[in-house]
Amino acid sequence: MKDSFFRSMTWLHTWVGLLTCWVLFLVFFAGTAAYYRAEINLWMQPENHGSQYDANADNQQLILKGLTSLAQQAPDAESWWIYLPTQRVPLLTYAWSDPAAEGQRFGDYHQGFINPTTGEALPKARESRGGDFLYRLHFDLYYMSVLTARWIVGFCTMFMLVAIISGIVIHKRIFKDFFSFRPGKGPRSWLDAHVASSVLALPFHLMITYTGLVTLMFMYMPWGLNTQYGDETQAFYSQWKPIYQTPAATGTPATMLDSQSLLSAIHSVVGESPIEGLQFDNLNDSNASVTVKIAPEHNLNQQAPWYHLSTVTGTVLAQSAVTSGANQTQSAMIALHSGRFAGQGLRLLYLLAGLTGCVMIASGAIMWAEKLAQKQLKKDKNHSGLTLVNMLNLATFAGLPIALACYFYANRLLPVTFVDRENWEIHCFFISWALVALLACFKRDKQTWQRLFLLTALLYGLLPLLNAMTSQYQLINNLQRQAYVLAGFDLMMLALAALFYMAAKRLRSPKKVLATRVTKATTELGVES
Amino acid sequence: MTATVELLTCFIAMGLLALSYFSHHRAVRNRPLTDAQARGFRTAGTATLVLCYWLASRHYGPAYASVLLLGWVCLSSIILVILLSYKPRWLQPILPASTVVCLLGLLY
Repeated sequence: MKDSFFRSMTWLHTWVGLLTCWVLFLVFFAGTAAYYRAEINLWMQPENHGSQYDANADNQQLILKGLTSLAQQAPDAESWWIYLPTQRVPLLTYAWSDPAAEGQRFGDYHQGFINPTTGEALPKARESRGGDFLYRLHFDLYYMSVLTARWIVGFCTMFMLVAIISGIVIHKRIFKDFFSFRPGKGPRSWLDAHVASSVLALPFHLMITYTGLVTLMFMYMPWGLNTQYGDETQAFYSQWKPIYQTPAATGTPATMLDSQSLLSAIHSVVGESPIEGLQFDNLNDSNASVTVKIAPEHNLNQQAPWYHLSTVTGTVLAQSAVTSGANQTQSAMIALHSGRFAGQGLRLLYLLAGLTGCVMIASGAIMWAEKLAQKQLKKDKNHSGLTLVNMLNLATFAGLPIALACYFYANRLLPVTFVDRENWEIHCFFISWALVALLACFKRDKQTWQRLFLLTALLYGLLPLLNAMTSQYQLINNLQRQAYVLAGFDLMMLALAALFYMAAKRLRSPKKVLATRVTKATTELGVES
Repeated sequence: MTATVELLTCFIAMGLLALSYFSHHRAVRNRPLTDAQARGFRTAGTATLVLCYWLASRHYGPAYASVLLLGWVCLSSIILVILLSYKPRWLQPILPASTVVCLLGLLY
C-alpha cells in the first residue's frame, strides 16, 4: 500500500488496468463489432444480398411459404422453425432439425432462406460464422475451452470494474476536464484522450462492465445457489424462469391442421401483434404443437409474450405469464448489455460508446508506456517491461483491426467449396493477427504504427470494392434500392478507413511534418529554387 | 426528424455547459467569463438537458429515453471536444444555428 489513499488508488488503477488491458481490448473490440452481428452475417453471405425488407409484406403469406418449403424439404423432421424478416435480417428463414441419432442430444440443424419480396428460395449460402464468431469471441475467446475462456473474461471484467471505480476516485477534476483535450502535447495528450474517452462514455463503461458480470453471475458466484439447491440447480432455474415444457411425443400419429386453418387459429390468438417466429415440435404426433413468439418492442424489458397452440386441434395449450421482478431486472440488464432492444439510432450510439471504450483502453496502455519511456530517458536505463508492453500494444491495438479486415477478405476470397471454409475464415483472422504480433517482436517504432494504420485504412477502404466485385449488389446500387443494411456496412468500412488514415497521418514523424510545412510555405511564397 | 431535434437539443445543452467553464468560454468567445454568466450558462444547459429528456421520454418512454440520452450526451460531447480542441470559434455560430433548427423542428 502507498502512503495515501489517493496514491493507493492511483497504483490500483494503473496496475489492474495495465495487467488486463489487452484481453479487455479484445473483449471490447469484438463486443462492439457484435452489436452489428446480424448485419455482418448478412454481408458475409452475398448469396442473400438480393433479399430486401418490406414493411408492408403480408406475414401470413410469408409463413405459408415457409410452411410449404418445410413440408417439401423436411416432412420427417423433429422440429421446424420459421423466422419472419426484419429490418436487420431481411430474409424469411426456415429451419429444421432431424431426429437425434442414438447417443446424440440433438439432431442435425438445417436452414434455408426465402426472399420475402419475390417469394423465391435463395441459393444455398456459403458457410460462414459471420458476426456470430465476433459475438462468441467476446466472451468465449477461441482455441480454448468455453469454461476457461469465461473465467478469464470474467476475471478481466472484474479488474476493469475496479479500474473504472478507482479511476473515478483519482480523477479529481471530472467535470472541469469534461471537454478538455490538448492535442500535440505528448503524454499530456494521451492522458487527455484517456480521460475524455473514459468520462464521456462513463455510464456506458460502468453499465457494460457490471452487466457483463451479471450475464454469467451464477458461474462466477455459484455458492448461494449451491447451498440452497445442491446438485439440483435445474430446479432453481425452473423456479426462477418458468419455461413451458413441450409435452413429449405420444407416438400416436396425427395429421396437422392445414396451413390456412392453422394460420387462422394463430391469428385469432395473437391478433395484430407482430410475430417474430414460430417453432413447431413433435411433428406428425398427436402432441404436435407450435410456439408463437411475438416480436419484442423497443423497451428494456425484452420478455416478449409467447403462445403455445396444438397444431392438431388449434387450441391454446399455454401462454406466457408475468414474471418475477428479479427475473425482469436480470432480463433488462442483459438487454442493456447486448443492446438487443436498441433501434438503429441507439445501436449506432452503442457502437460509438464501444469504440470510445476501445480508445480508453488503448490510450491508457500507451500512456503508461510513454511515461515509462520518458523516465527511462532521464535515468538512461533499459526496462524489459516497457519492451513487452510496447510489443503487446502494437500487436493488440494495431493487430486486431487488421485481423478483422482480413476476416472479411477471407470471407470473399476463399473459394465457396473450400473444405471447412467457415473455420478457415476464422483461422485467417488469427493468422493475420499473429503476423502483426510477429512484426511487433522486431519493430515497434512510430513508423511501424503509422504503416500498420495505413495498411488498415487501405484494407477497410477497399472492402466496398471487394464487395462490388464479389456480390451482385454494390454500394451505389444498395443505396438506390434502399438496402441500408448492406450500404451501411460499406459506409462504415469507409468511415473506419478514414479514421485509420487520419490516425496514420497524425503519426507522421515531426521531421516529416516540419519538412512538408516548410515545402508548402516556400511554395506559397514563391521562393522555391 | 424528431430524433434529430432531440439530438440537437442535447448538443445545445452540452455546448452551454461547456461555455460555463472559463477556459472554453475564452477559447470560443475570446472574452472573460463572469460568475453570473457561468451560472447562467450552467442553468440554461441543465434546463435544456431536462427538456431533451422530456422530449425523448414523450417519444420513446422514460426507460428507453434514459439510455438514448446517455448516448446523445456521449456523441454531443465528442463533437464538442473535437470542436473545442481544433476549431473553438466555430462553436459561436454553430450553437445559435442549432437552436434555430431545433426550434423550427419543434414548431413543425
